[in-house]
Amino acid sequence: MLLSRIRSGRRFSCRQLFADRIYHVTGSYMEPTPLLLMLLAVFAPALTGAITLLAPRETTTSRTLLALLGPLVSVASLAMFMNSFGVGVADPSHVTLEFVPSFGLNFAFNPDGLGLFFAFLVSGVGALIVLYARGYFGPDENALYRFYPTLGLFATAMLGLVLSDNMLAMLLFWELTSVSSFLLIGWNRDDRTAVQLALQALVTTGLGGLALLGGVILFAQSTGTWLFSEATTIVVQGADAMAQPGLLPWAFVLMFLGGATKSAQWPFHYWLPGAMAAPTPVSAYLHSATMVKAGIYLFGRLVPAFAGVEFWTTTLVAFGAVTMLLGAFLALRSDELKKIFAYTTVSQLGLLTCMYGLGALSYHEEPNLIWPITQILNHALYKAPLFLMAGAIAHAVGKKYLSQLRGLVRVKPLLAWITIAAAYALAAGPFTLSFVAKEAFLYQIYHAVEWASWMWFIAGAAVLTAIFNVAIFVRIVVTFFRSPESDAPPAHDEHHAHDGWAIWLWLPALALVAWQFIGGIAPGLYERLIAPIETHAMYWDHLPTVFSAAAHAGVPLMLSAVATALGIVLGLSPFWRTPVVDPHNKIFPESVSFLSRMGWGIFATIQTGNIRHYTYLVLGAFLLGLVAAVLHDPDLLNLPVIASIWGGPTGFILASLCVFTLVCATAISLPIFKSRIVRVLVLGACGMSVTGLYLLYQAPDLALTQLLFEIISVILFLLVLRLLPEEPPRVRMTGVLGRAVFSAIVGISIGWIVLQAGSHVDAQSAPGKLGEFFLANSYEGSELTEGRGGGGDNSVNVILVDFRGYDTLGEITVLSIAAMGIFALIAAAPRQAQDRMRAVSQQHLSSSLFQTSMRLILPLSLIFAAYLFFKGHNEPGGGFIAGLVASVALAVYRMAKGPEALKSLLPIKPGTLAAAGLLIALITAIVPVALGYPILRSHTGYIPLAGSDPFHYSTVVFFDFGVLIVVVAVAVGVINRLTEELET
Amino acid sequence: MDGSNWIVLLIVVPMFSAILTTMLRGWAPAQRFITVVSLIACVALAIGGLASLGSNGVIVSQAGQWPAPFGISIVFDQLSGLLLAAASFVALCVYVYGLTSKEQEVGRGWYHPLFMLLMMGVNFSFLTGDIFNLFVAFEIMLMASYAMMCLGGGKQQLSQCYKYVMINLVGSTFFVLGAALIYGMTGTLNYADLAVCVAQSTMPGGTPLPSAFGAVAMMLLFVFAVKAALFPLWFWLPDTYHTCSITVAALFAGLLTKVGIYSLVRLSPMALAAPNIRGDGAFATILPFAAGLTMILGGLAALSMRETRRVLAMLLISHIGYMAFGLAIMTPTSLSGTVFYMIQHMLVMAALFLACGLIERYQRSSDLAETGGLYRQAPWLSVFFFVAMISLIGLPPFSGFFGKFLLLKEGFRLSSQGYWLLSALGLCTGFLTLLALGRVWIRTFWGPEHREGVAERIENVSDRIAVAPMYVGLAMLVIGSLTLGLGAEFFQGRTSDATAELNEPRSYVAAVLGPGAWPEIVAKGDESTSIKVANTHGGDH
Repeated sequence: MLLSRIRSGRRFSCRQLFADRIYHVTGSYMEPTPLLLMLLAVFAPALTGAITLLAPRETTTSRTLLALLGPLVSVASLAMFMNSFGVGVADPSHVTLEFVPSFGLNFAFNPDGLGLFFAFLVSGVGALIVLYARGYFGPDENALYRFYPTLGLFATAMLGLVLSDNMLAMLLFWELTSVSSFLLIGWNRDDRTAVQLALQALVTTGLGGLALLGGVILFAQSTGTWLFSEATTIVVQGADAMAQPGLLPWAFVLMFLGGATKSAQWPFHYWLPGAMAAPTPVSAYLHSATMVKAGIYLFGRLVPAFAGVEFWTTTLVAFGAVTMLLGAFLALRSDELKKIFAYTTVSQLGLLTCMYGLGALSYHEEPNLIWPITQILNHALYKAPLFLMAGAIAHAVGKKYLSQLRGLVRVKPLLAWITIAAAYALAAGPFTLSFVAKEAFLYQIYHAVEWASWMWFIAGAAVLTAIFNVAIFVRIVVTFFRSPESDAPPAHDEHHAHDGWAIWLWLPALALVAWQFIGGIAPGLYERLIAPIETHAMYWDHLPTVFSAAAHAGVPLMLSAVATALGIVLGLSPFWRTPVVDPHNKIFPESVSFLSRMGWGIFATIQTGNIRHYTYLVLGAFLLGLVAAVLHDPDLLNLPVIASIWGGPTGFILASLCVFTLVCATAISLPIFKSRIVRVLVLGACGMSVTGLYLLYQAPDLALTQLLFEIISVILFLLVLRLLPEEPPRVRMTGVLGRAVFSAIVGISIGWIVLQAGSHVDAQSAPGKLGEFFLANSYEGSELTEGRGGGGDNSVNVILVDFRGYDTLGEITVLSIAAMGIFALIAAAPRQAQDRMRAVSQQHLSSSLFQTSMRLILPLSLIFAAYLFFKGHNEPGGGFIAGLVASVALAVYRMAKGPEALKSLLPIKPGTLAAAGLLIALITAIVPVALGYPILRSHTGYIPLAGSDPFHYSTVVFFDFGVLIVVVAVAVGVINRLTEELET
Repeated sequence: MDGSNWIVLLIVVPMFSAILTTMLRGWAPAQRFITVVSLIACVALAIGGLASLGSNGVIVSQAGQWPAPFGISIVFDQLSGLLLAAASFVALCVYVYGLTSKEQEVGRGWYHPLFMLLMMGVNFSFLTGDIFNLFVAFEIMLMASYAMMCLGGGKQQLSQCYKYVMINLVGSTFFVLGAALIYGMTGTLNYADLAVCVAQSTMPGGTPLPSAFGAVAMMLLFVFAVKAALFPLWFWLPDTYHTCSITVAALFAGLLTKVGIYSLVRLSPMALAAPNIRGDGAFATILPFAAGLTMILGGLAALSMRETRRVLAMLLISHIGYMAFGLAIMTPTSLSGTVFYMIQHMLVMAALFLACGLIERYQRSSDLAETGGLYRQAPWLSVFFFVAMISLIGLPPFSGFFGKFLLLKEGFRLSSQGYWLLSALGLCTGFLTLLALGRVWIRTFWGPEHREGVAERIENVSDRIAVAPMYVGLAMLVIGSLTLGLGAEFFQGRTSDATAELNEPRSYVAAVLGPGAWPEIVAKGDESTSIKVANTHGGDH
């Protein structure tokens, strides 16, 4: 009713009605702005769909009515928009809702002729589908509960798609249609085939969606705007107006790919027949009337911009014609009703693409794109009813194959006649809108032939298609009129009780198909209805009618007469009756399996699971990086200047050579020895030799640390070795030489870089650099530090606990985590291994001399550690070194006296002890923060003592103490854990 | 500098919480409480810090109050802040999810401190302004990750862990070596000081850096590439993520690789691969290949996987390629895309892994041949998975779209330099992701319920309680990702602020080293050189 009022032009009342509603919602009087109307038109279906979820599950009537409200509101808003603002908008900013402006993604609408036409189609058919679905699903409340929200989402997506001016917003809605279609095709969630087909549709259209994304970006990049309307203007102005005109052809290619997958053009058409796994309302709505037209819509939207692109016509016409012919042929060779209609849809989509391709030919002289629009409407008006009837027939007689439907006219006359009427339109018989559309198409091709003679092939394809369509019609009619195979009346499919809603199984189809004949018989009326939309667009011309066609009898009419005659003959003939399977159906599974096999090949090549391969890979990649670096900077190969060593005193040179020889000899001999224990010892020797290096360069702290560390690690290694299983029998290894060469290359390369970099090491000690600063401020401060110094003579220790104490805080954490990891790992070790460990741990060295001497050694070592700790700030030593000394002492003590002795000496759990050490360090670190200083800010000073030098103190001692505790706890904990009974 | 010292709390809080939970082992409720509270505190601190920053504000605290570059700078800027907030949020969600999971018991209470220590390492990495300190941060993070990976330690798990440790040890060795050589050549470890050094060296009259700088920079970039799991250095990832527990996998998936990418984002434009340094072209040549191959080969490999968790692990790698893509172009816009994508990837990848955990819980397996019909058992799980899936595929207006979009756009804009190829590969990767995840969806959530899959509804009360926190954690992540998508305008503003100056970190350097530290070129009539230096990286090819 609302609709008729709008159509009849009583705009005031509608507007009043709408404004009142807004008034109630917002509390203040508001003129419906164009933006508001657009938003309402687009989002109403999704909103009402979502609201139906709130309704109790068992209500079906109110749910249906609520779902119906969505499309109706859309129709009303669109009509109001047209009434108030006309078609198209003068100022795009009035219909723009900003979403992500910095990306250019806004909800900008452009309700021009093309957009509004599609919007009316989507919302109008949508309303009928809501009703049909109620009839189709019956009172199955679970199905309806799931169906309406998804349908609403789809309707919104489709409306947004066709009304958006912003390319990204269109893309957003475009993807949303794919997703909602996926959800609807996979309606039978338990059916493996159905969900596979749903995925096939999603992935195929998703491929197009991604291509479209690329195309849209390129289009926007080349024109400099995200709005279709502006971009079109810019392209029409020519290359000078564009930002990057070179990208335009690629934009076309990608966008064509997007449109072609969505609109099921060859060779992507396979997904559409597959999508017939969806319930019939979905097939009728998405896969026939609306969604599959999205690609066609895109072509229509782009004609003005791309008509100038050279290969537009060729591409669209060629793909369209192939699709058209193939679809019609496969439709003829199918038996399942829905498949037949799906393939004719494919064929029709090909025809539409073809038309838009031809449209570009004459576009700039005569923008007569009304014909494709007529075709689109025409197709919706017969194909949707065909699907609806296929569903209704399956519903009523439980049969979905044409060959099973003999005698349907007698069994279900109403359904049969509506189907025949719609199929008549499919065959483009006279007095239907379809006839008009077909004539228009043939006329267009006929004229295109003047432009290029190869268009005769297209004309031939069109005639063949027409023949197939007529033949399909003839076969449907013949089948319906033949007597049934058996006399028994076909069983009525009683899967649900029929109620008053059952009429909606056929009423929507009837309503739609009626328009076919109205449009065909009285084109004037049709024109008047469509005119308000189309006059404002540029697509207007007079429609050829059956009368005008007869009046101007020419080649087109002749062709169509020939096609009809041949079609009837083919329809009655026994040729091409057996169903065939479309070979294209294999495309998707085959390509997925191809990609997957390829992926597996790649995965298996890299992921061998062999640590040696991984090492090759890592080091090989590293070498490649170096090669690239050398290629970019050949200076890297020059021999660096290394004079410093040879300039020193002779003693230094000799000592250097000794250390060098030791380090190299131990390192090289490491892989030669086979026995584990020898290897561990040689490794220790190598580490000890490095100590010499530190000594040479006068770094006693480092030397001390290295030495102690080597001792501890050798002890640890030996402890672990005891727990390892027997050494495997020696096998002769292959490929040793290759590995040795590879290792040598890696080693030499790294050495070379170090040498290269090493020839520039003076930078650090330059004035104003770190080295100089650390030495200068170690004890006394300078201007840079506002007079505050580190308060220690041993700059290494000051660096560790003060200048870079923050690093140390991190490192002791690392140390603790390592210990925690070991604790957690051993805790989780399998029972057997635990027992084994326990057995091993019972043994300890029981030499009495050793035990007795420990009484002396331990206290002495601990005192020494304490000494190192306190002297550390000024002399070599410090918390870390002291911790290591104490650990070594405790480890040896434990070896001598056994685990119990150590436990009684150190009653606290090592984990907790480590945590306590960390806590001490952390508290020292953050106390300054609490006082408003940065973390780890130290404080040094003097406590005046009577009669002697004042006592020098520094707060870093607490931090250093934390370090000591952590080191001891970790070392002792790990040693304990490796040897002792498990801590609980 | 006053009032800036609180930023260390982002490190202190997790560390303190780890210490407490270590001491409280055996008293799980207290451990859980402390961990949750400190994770919330981290999120709050990061968000509070972000709120207090201006558009290019930088908060600096000098450890020990030693001036930069001598002391260690702790720097909180937009980039760090965004990543800190995202990382802490992801960690919070993952932790909440794991509140009732069994590895807490298996690890004998070590799970909680290790979790927080890992977070400490992550936060440490985001905050530090010093290369050696970054090494320490990596070590904290890695050491915690080794330990967490072994929690529960089956044979398979330990063997994978061993490989992971070995590879990372190689990486760490290169890292410390590279840091030392950088120090040797430039005399500094401080990011800002290094950036100044590099900038000066490329200026007319400046001393050029030695050739070895290029090689050493390559060494460090290589290390970060290992952490980020770029092709062909990803092999440590799929197997390890497959064997460890799902919460650990989700945490790693969300955070670990991103730290590698973060280091690249932070250091390459300003120093290691800055334009005009000697040998910078090497990395600029390699990175596009690495990015493209990571995207496409990872995607293909994901297709061939037969278990959801493995599919996710490969997709994780594949999508790291997107981030490398932005790095390869290295313009402010592309870096902004990288950062946006990083944040979304943290949320979405963690969400998908957590969802996978629930799949495994319901169906006893994530093997695609053994699952099916889950939508009926767990409708909300299906919804969450679907949203996260769409987001990863990158459909608008979900979060995955926006980062990817910026990258694709920038690639196409610079088509003349050949970057269109990366954009094209990016689109193909989107397709592969769609296919791989679509397959997971129809095999796991749709399709017939599998008989052997022991599909059972969670009926009894105790199971419901056990599952509740899992859903809470998952829901939080999904809502976070939705917010990121719908609030893309806001977040994109923040990420573009964060990356606006990465190529020429004027504010950053001024905040760390004091005003006037950034070497501006004094115009001497030689315009060609001044333009050259002012150029962004992308414009140089």
